Amino acid sequence: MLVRLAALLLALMLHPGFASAQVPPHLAQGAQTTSTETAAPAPSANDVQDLLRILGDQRVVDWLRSAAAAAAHTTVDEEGSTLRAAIQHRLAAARQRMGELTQAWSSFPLVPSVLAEAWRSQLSPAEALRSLTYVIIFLFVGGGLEWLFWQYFHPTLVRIEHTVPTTLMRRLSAAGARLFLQALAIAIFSIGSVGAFLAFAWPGFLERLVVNLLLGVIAVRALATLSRFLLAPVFPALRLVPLDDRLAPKLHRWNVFVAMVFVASLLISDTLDVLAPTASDAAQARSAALAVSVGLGATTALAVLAMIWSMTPRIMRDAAAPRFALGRLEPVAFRLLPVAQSLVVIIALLLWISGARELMWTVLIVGLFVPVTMLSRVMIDHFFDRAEEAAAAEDHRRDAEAQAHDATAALAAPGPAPGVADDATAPAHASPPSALVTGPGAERYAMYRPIVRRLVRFLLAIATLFALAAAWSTDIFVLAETPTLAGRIAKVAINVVAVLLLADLIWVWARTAIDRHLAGYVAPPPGEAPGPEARMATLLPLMRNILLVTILVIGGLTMLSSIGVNIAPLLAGAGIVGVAVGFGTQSLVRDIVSGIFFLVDDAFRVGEYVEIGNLRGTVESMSLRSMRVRHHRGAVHTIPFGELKSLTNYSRDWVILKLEFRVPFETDLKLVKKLVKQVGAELQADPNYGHYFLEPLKSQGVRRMEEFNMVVGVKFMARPGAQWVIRRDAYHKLRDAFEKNGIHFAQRNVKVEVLSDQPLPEQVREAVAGAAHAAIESRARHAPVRDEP
Amino acid sequence: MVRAVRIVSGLVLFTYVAMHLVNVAFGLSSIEAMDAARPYFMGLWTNPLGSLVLMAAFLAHFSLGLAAIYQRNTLRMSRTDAVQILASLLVVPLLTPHVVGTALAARYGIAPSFASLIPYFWIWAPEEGLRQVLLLAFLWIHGCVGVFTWARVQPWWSRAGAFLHPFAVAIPVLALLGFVSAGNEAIRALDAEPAIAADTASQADAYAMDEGETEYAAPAGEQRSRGEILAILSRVNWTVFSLYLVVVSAVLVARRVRLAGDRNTVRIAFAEGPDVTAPAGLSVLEIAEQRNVAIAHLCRGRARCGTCRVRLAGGDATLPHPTHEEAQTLARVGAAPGERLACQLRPGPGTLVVERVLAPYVRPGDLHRTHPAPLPAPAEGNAA
Repeated sequence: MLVRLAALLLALMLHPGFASAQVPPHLAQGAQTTSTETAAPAPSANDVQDLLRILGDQRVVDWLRSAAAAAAHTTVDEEGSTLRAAIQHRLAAARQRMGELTQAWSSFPLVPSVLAEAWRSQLSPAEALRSLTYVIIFLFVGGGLEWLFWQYFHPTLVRIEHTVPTTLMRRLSAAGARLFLQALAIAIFSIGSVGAFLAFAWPGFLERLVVNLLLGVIAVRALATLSRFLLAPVFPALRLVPLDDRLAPKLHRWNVFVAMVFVASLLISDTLDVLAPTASDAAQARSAALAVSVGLGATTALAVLAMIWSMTPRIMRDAAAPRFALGRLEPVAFRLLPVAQSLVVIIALLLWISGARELMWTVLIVGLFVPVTMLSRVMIDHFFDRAEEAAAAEDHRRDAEAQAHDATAALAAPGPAPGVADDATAPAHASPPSALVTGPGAERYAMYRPIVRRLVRFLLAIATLFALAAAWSTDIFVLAETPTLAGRIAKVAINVVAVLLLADLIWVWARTAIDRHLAGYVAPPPGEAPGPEARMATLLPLMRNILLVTILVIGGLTMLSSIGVNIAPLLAGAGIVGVAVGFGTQSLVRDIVSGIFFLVDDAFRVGEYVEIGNLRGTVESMSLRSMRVRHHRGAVHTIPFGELKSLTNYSRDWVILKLEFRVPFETDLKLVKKLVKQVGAELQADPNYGHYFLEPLKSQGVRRMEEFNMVVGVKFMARPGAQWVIRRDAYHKLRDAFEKNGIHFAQRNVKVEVLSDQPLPEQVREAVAGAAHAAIESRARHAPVRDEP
Repeated sequence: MVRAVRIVSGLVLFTYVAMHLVNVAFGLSSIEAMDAARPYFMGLWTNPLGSLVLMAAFLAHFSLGLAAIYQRNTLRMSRTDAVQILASLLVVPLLTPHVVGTALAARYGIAPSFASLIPYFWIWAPEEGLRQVLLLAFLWIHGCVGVFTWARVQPWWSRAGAFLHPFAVAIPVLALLGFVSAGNEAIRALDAEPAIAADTASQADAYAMDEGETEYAAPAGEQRSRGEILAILSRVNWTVFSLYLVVVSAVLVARRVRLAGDRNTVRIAFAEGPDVTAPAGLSVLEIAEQRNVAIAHLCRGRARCGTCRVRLAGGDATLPHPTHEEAQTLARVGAAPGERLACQLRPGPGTLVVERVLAPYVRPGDLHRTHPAPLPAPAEGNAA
């Protein structure tokens, strides 16, 4: 949007030729700070030879050394008065510039004649025509080479442009590959045209003129390619900004137009700057050149303003409006935005005219920072939206495939086909195929969105800082090495910014991850037991706070140390306190940590029946430190997590119960098997617990033989929870069935053989039976009765 | 037949231009070298038979070109076509002074030579030099588009194509660099000998009278005053130019009259692409190009390659029967029934559903594979 216009302007302004073109040479020479950017024609080969010869002379070298040493001394001496000198110097420069501007204004009517005269003195009409011929020839050479390049790579480009990318990565790489191919083509074009030109030797001014024309063509093409990369006017699939098919080509045309105006102005003023000193009346020619370049600058600014007023309101209305979410301020913002942009442009123009380059850059950079940040944010959102859409579509496609697979499988299978098919198709109808249904694929993007946003914003801020530093011609890193106050401040600032950046990134990442987990947690409806997520939900905010404090402390300490505060005592003190507290809270920490790990292992949940050592019961609740287990007879055990060595969970997946019956030896085992099967079917049909069965009740045949009977085994497998009820009913029903079919359970009967002929009296008989019973009872091992709910 | 005449005459002209340019490229060495090489390159064409062939080829190509413009259904065309047509239209006015000058010079018995022409183009009449450069650029671009469009569907192309492209660039580039180098040589010679410069400067008018083919060996009887010759030259140039304008405008007007009849529209639905509505009478390929629907067309709509074929999947538009050329090409590429060439198919009013058979990015090499069929299928979607 708006931002892009500004971004384009920035890109244009960053053109390396800008500095030299904007400042007339005499001004640049006058200002020491900018003297490096003088636009002087390159020395001839002879001059260079001479210079090398002179430098080879030892005397000259010695003299240069001593002079350099002296210069170093004077710089140190003048250290104190630098600021004042700089201010004075700038004031003088401004005054001089004002004088020049007045002169330029007064000589404005003379501009055509003066410049024409200078032009004629440098270039006869024949030469001008010839230079045009040269330009056309060299453009043809470059164009021919580029054509050759496209002969081999055009099919690749078409393939890229006509394949719709499905993921974010593919989209980016397709746009990047396209940019790469086009940039390569332009590079080949430049090499062909400029290279062919440089292969010949030319007189000075002609060379400058032709090179300028060639560079102009190349620069406009490069800028157009950049704009095409961002806007992709014809191919919406490769577009990197959220604009529709109508606005993108328009904006692209504006971009190209502004680029052309800008590059043309730049080249014309550069050519005139070179031309002016050679005129017969150099001073007047310089004024004329200045007047022309001011006019051209104003033209460029006008073009930019036209673009702003033509595009910004439309873009704001159409594409960007819903993204900024300014609420009630929106209409005002829409109206103010072009005004603000125009103000930036106009102020920059005025500053440039008055020669305050640093101020102009500052205004431009600061004016650009906000819109560029907004642009980057919109672009990132655009990317992530597209990526999520693509991922959702992919998920949807995979679901559909799986469903199709299920459906066919279900149709092939004879049994529960209709039910399965219904289940499978229902979600497909419920979920719309379009975007924003977050599937597993789409979700992984949601996590990175804020991080990327944050990162880009930071990078932009840093880039802005560097750009400002460059505008004021200071190198921050060099400054940081100097022992002055400013240097130290710069050094500290660099450290602090780096720490802040890192800390912020870590914090945003962790917070996003934690918040996403928390957002996924749904509190259970009242009356139901919370799952393990509930404990996570209590733990995560705690962890988040701990993390925040840690990051703050570490970041603060690092910053303090970079400022120069000695943090060793602080660290030592904190260490001692930490050790003391650590010893004191050792077991507490152990409880919390092992609790986290039990949770991670998913060893138990609320409502499950567990056994810990010799304690058993249903898990009733969990706190940060301990769990509460209720015995089925009502007792409540509180067990710290740290005490848990191992834990047996009786409520997981399935249980097998084995029942035993003692029947007499003469029992018909086939009949038993049949009856068990019958009872098993009955149990499975029970509405209350039938669905708990995983395997029905079935007979295992004779398990073992005992003295007076045989043991028939019966077992079933069920989901945990109803096994006791099932066992009860199984006993019940089996007994009834056996009874009905004449199978009686074996009963222990003891035959006491008395070696005597005479019948025993009743009293003695009872005594004998009692003695035998006591003997048997004493022999029978009393296995502990299992205590079950 | 028309196709054959067009390509044969074009190839003749192209060969001539190429040889001329190779000759100019000798300027990278020196002007003497150019003149020394001249008989070997130009001798073939300067004899009467060569001139006759050249003239015939030019006339045939020119009239066929005008006929092609007359037969175009739309002037909105692909960039390549536009470049080719514009280049050809510009060639004639740029070429006239050169040809007329040469003809006049021959008429007055003046033999042209590079030694006299190069200073003329670079020093005495730089606008003529500029015109030569533009002429070369347009001629070569037009020729290359035509020749490569024809060549890249030929069976031998997959073997030779990659080697021919560099030549297409090298010949004009070397010729232009030779031209520049020779011009610099001439300028240096002039700067080095101011006496001669003054002398030749006084004769600038003499050079300027035509293309500069002035040798002072003209038979006295035939010699006319310079002003007279200049006047003849200028008159002939202007006559030719006006005639040319009249002919081109007449062709354009005739085309407009021919097209004035139909104002119906046809609606075409591209499978995996957009629905477009366009005036009836355009070919499917032209309609697709206008709406950014990519269809492969290696021969640029000359019914040669068969890559633009589309499958007709319904619609009620009236479809003309395939022409002889189209039927031939369809048979050659083994098209299934129901497939037509998009470049030749001009649906009448109504609707039409078409489906592209090949991907838009077919390479010429894909055409002549030894095993048939596995040409790339169309892309999954179209980004138009």
